[in-house]
Amino acid sequence: MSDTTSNVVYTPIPRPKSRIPLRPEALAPVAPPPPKAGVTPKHAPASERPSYFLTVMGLVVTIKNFFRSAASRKADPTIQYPEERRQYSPRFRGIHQLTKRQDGTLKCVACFMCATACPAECIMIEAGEHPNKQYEKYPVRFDIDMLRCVMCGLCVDACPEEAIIMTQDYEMSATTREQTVYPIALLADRKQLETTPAGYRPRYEPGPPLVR
Amino acid sequence: MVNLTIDGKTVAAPKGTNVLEAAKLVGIRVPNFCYHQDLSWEGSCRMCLVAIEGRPKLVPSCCEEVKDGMNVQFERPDAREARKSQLEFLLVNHPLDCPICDQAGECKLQDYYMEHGGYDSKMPRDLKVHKRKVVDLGERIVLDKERCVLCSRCVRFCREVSGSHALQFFTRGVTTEIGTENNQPIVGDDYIGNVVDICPVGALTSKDFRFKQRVWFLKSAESVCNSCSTGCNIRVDHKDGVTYRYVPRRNEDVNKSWMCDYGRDSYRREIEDRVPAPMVREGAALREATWDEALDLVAARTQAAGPDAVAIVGSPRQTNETSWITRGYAREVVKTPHFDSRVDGSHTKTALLADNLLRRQDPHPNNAGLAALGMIATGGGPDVGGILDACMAGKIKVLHLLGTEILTHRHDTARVHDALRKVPFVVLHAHHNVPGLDELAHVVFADAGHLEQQGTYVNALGRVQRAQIAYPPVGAARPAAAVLSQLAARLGTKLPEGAGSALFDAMAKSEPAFAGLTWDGLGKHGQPLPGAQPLTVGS
Repeated sequence: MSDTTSNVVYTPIPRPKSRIPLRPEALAPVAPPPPKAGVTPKHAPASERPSYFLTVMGLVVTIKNFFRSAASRKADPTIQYPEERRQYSPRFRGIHQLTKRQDGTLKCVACFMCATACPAECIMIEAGEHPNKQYEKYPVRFDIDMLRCVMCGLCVDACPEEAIIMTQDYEMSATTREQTVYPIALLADRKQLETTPAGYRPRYEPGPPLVR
Repeated sequence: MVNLTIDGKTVAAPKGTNVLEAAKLVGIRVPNFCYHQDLSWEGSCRMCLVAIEGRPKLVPSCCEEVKDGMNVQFERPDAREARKSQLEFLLVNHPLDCPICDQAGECKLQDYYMEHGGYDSKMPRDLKVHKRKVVDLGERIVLDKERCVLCSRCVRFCREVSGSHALQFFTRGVTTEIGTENNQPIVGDDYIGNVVDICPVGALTSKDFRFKQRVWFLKSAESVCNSCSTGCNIRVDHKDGVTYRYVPRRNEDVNKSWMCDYGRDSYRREIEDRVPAPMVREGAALREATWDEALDLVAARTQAAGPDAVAIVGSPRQTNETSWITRGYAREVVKTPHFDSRVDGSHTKTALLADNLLRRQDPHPNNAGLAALGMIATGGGPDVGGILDACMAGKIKVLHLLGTEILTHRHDTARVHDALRKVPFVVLHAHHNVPGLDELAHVVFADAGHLEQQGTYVNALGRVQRAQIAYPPVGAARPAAAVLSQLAARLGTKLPEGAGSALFDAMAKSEPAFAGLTWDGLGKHGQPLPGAQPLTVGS
């Protein structure tokens, strides 16, 4: 393909000459605009005087919503986190999860596809020989550095085994840097997985149940 | 030379070559599995089918010798279609293992599949013939019979090169498989690691490298194995300053496409138990020190001892450039009469083979280089016994050793230990920890390994070969040549400094043994020393 394209010689299309002759005044230097006054003079024409009408109308909206939300909690856009939670899209890209097979082993085969696709280089995998020969390869270590992760979901797209998906869990505050590196124990078995629904994943339509 | 045309391009190929090799000369890469440059022609995979004018059928190009006036058509539609169909046949029973297969990324089957298309399989998945997976074939090899494309490269290797006849074909038809008798582990073949390299698919994988890294993460450097005086050309695959494997690099004049398992394993020496920083004796133990502290100490002690009380012992594991600097340091800077490089008598065995293929009895890579530089004295005993005797007699105040072979490669360890204990100041360039280092050395210079510095080695055939730098030295280690130059500067003399390539060019200008050679001129496969006897592998 490249061989054939390389033979094509690129010739630029000649630009047509303008039929309108340049006026001599167009070439003359433009005079600088007159200096702007700091304050609009009082004797300025009405069209240049500031109008306070729109400002007042804006304040009316603010004050109306202030009283409306004070009267009814339903109209209040603020939610009482953490007692209240927002509903997120099923494609929400929260903290990752390593999914499991029916027998409870990790689906991950340590193929490094996610680590290869990851633009933040936040996935660290160490592969090992699975005791069960049927599975052959499994991750001895699988760490995601949440401080580096940009939550792009490319790891989920790259995974050939549906072994890494994202959840709607977004609470990842930590008190040390070490805690932000999530090992297998956190990615596959953390407590929040029981309550948070799955997020960005390869399949949304009904099919064989996704073992979580 | 034979003249033929391939896809309209005229080729002049040497007589006896096959069409596949001739096509390479004009840049046509004919897909193939079973053909290997250093094995016999088999023609079993049928991936290299081409059309030849005047022949009724398509012909496997790997088994077709070139003839004058031959008109080969590689890109003819029917030939292309035949290759594509053949690939489909090979993939019929191939498992969908790429995510867990170590070959992924350097797999010919993957490459040709992407090249030829035909992405949707016509074969229902549940009709595939299954075979045994993860068959343990001893210490080195894991076999997956399903992934095999029956190219017979490994069978031919065991028959023609290593001579072990370990791997064979079993049964017939669609159930044909590769294996050993009763699936017994392979023992007694010191070259069996090569079957992993020549396997075009992931059927044979290396137990040692298995699952350690994916190959597309690895970077490569062209180097030379330093485990014996043959100097097999290798490719060093590394990542983030850690070597993961050695793979033989083809050099027709030295190692063909092979290397021994001992050399293959020697990458571990470059990563295990390294000395990361210079050390200085404090009381009964060594402690880490800065380079300035260690260099100042050695320079002061060398100066104080005077030329006659300093002994310097070169190392056959160091590069030519380092040895050249060592010679300059001993003869021009310190001006000592006690200078030798015959650490363990291995220089007498340089040319002797240890087996019937590649390995030699001399375990060091550069004894021939030391000889070329005139650092191996003729006469006066087989080794550094003279210097050891002088140590025993208390004449030596500073003993400067360029390597640790004196502690590891000699049979008379007790004598060496006794002699070194008599010396008040022992300086050692140590690359990794060796027994006796803690007890005997007073200053240890952390030495960069042969993957961490540019340099050349002269192998047993008198061939000068380049070793490129793979990654910077671990920790604070430095190449011995740089350390000696810095010592010389402290003693008031200037020795050449710089990268291995610059040092080699400087050395070649002043050394008659290397006359006319240049770093660039050595090329990927090295050049024989001028005046050396032309020898071939096995002699």
